[in-house]
Amino acid sequence: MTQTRISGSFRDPSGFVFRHDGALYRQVNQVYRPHYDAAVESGFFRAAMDEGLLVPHVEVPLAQVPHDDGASVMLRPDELPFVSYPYEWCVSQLQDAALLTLALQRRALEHGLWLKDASAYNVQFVGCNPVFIDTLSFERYPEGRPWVAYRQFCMHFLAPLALACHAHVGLAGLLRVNVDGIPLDLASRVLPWASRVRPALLVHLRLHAQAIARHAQTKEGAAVAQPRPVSRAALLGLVDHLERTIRRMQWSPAGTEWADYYDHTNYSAEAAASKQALLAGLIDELQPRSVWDLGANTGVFSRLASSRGIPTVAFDVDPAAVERNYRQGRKERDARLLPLVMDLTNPSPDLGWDGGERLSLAARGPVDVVMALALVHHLAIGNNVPLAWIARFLRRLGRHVVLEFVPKSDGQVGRLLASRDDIFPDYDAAGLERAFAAEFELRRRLPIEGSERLLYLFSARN
Amino acid sequence: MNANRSTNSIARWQFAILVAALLGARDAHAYLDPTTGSMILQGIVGGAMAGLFVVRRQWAQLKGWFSRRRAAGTDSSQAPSGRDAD
Repeated sequence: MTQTRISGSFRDPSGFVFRHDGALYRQVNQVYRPHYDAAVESGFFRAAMDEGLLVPHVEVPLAQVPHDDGASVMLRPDELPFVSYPYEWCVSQLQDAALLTLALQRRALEHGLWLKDASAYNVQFVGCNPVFIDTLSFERYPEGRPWVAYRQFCMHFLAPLALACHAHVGLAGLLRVNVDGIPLDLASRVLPWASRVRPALLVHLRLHAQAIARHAQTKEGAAVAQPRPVSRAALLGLVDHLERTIRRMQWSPAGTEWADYYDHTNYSAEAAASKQALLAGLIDELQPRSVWDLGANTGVFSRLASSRGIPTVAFDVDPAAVERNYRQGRKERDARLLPLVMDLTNPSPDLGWDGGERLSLAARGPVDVVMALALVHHLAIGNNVPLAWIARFLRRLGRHVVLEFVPKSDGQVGRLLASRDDIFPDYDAAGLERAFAAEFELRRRLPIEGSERLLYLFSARN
Repeated sequence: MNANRSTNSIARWQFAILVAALLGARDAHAYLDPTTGSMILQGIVGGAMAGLFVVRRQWAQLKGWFSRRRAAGTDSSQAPSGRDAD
């Protein structure tokens, strides 16, 4: 009998999530019971789950699962195919997560409840569909109280979105360093003047930061100013205003990444068709339970797996490519394909308290199949990573690797070597196979017709 | 923010007790620190937000009423536009 608490689940005294004998449970503590009952009796949980906004759960008898004295109810929530974090999301994903949070706040208020926190980590994605996972975030609405989660909402959602849309998309990465959201004074300071004084951002970021600073407790025994009561109408107005502000933010990536990536690569129609057919064949043969596509760009080849019902994560370092991938998947309500932003040369590390709250990329693997299509040359040549090190890295992520090798004779690699010395004597098919031999068994080497590229299938030795 | 200072001290105490009652122990499990400044800001802008909200709702109803009038004679129902995220 094994029971382990999920490492990020500890801040809320209302309950926590843990694993027992492989299954996922949520313990609901007695202190939360009145709120839980209100959420059930008002019909809120049922409505939110039926609408697909809140992760579904079922109640299980307490006696069925080991629990401590504080437990009141035991829940079994649905499990997610993959856990992702806000610093891995593209702009539209963060936007949709924000809108989902606000939609639930509105629904909750309709049922006499509200959100006691508004952390971006309350939201996860099932494919391209956002879902709220923190069932215990909802509490009975105390009439007249200002929204306790307003500051957190602005730090987790509004600030990074404003920075990404009005300053630079790369600033969304600040979420990795600031695990509890981007400080409002920082966001306000970094925004260009024109954006800083837009009424909505002026209030929710700049004035908000100033109000917080002004009323921070600095002196012992200094009188604490009492906030005025805030009516329910005002709360709904605030939610409405935040929603409009967020909907108005659109990120339009400038630059060549947004243009057709595949125009810049050396694919003839014949080669593209050959690659698709070979890949499809390999996926059908391997029948993986899950796939990670590394360097997936807009997900053209990821969809070969996801369209077969296989949960697939499509990683790319370019936020514009991920954005495009996500917008397409969202339009199709794709529940299998999850696009994420990831720099493979500096992937998400372990983060948070004791380095254990948010898992690194490798800790969320390994998966059955990793696809590394037209990727290795970026790592080996573009980033000077030895091929054997790439093999070790890929082994940590997946049991089978489908790899597209682009030789030096191909224009893509030629471009990488154009302005530098060729210090890669071992970069060729034979060198690749030698480098991968320690970790993998070479199962297939398939030439892509109409090109000089090779499609490999490697399977882990142990 | 200056509302309290402009009333006499008895009224100020009454107000403080009222606010304290409203802020009562109900949300003892709201483990987040909302920070005083954030709550005060909401107190200030809340009225404006509420007003905007009411105006927007009424405007949307008015628009809906007009477009229903214009579409009088057809059975088409108003399809919701925009994102499905809500």
